[in-house]
Amino acid sequence: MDTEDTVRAVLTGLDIDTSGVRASTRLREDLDVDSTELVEILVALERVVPVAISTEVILSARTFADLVTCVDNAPPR
Amino acid sequence: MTARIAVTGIGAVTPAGRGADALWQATLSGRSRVRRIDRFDPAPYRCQVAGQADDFDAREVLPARLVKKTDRFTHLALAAVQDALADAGLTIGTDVAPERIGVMVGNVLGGWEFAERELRDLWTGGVREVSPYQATAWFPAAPQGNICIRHNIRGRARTFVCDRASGAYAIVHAAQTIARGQADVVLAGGTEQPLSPYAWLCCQTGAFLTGLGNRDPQRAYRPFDRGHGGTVLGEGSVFLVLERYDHAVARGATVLGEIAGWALNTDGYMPYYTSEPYGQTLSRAVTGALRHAGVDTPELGAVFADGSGVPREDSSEAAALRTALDGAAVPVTAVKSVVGHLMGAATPADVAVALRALAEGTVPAVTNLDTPAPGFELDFVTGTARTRTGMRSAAVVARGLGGVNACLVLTR
Repeated sequence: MDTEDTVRAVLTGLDIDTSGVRASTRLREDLDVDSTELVEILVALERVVPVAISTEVILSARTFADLVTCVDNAPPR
Repeated sequence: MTARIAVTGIGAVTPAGRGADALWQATLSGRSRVRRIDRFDPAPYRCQVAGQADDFDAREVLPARLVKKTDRFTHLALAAVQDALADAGLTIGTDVAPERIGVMVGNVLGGWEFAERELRDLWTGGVREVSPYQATAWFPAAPQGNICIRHNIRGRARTFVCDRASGAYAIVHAAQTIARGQADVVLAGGTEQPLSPYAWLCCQTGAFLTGLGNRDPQRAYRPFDRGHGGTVLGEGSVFLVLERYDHAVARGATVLGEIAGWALNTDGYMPYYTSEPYGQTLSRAVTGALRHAGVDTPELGAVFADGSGVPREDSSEAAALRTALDGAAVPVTAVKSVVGHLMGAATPADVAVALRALAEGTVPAVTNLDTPAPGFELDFVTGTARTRTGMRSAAVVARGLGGVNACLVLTR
């Protein structure tokens, strides 16, 4: 499973509707994800990927592609 | 000039089911919905019975993501508010500007079902295991915030925490907000979910729960009865749509009744967890609310007493009502023993029942009041409901720990 599929699966696991989600899909405007939910997403991602994602970095994510980049650029734990 | 305050909608989720009609029918039936607790193991507790809103499944009413982020006391409130707005036929943004509608909420305990789960995860799994929503899910003002977000309400909003009178304070403040011209519509109500092990323990140490009814739950809560041994709690939420009278009429709303008068005071009695034993301060709240409403005591249709079932509170309330009624032949009832004392939602629930009583000309009997305790010389409605044709007004009494007193007078 590549990072994109992993992120998609994590969002689905949090009851976020990922049907029709593309790289440019906006987290806040299109998916109604708020900052607290971004923290929830961070914790859920770290459960399935052995990386350490910084809170500051994930809070600056604007799109689905940004989330994938967050994971890809995060240092291993 | 005094603004008239109309009630134009009611939403209720209680152990009687969904809706004010279900609550009214349960009240008339005289059969208590109190049962043995099954949300957690009640065996270690003194009081093992409660009113549970078992028919309410939050996932049937609210989006899954919202349910996950919030405690059940918020779920109950959101459902009650949604139903109240629908009952009033009120669309925010069309019938009232978002800036001209407010929210007042009564709550006592907060959201301990959610919080207990997160605290367990904190102590067993560490900080990373705690939901990021814990911060916003547990506290008493959480329902208020979620109501405003979900319904795009931008006016005044406030949460009242004053023990079992919290809901009464919310209604009074809502009425004052409208009377002062600060809003055209205010959602006023309360919500409570005491059914979690820690919250229940706190209520037990508050020493107002009965320990006498565990073998016979439906008979456990006995307001003013010689067998009274304390309160039985219940979960639920009730919200009223309060509206400036001319605003309600202008949009063609059905007016269910009016909040015509109110009074608040505090016993200031020591020890601080008790109330003044002769009810003199409470009687002044009742008299003050009647005067505010312009209702002469002999004309009062009925009193919906607080009826906590705590012997010392029943006793001081009976004394207060005797003083306030001053010999007038006014029937006294108490309706909390049907679904349990809903704490923050208790007075809104009592008001919902009292408004229906006014509409029907019927005063429901006190469920489980067989023989009044010695010295409680009031015209209690017992056995079956009493017809009181032409009844135009009712007083609703609310009290909390620390001698917090409130009285509302409703008219129709």
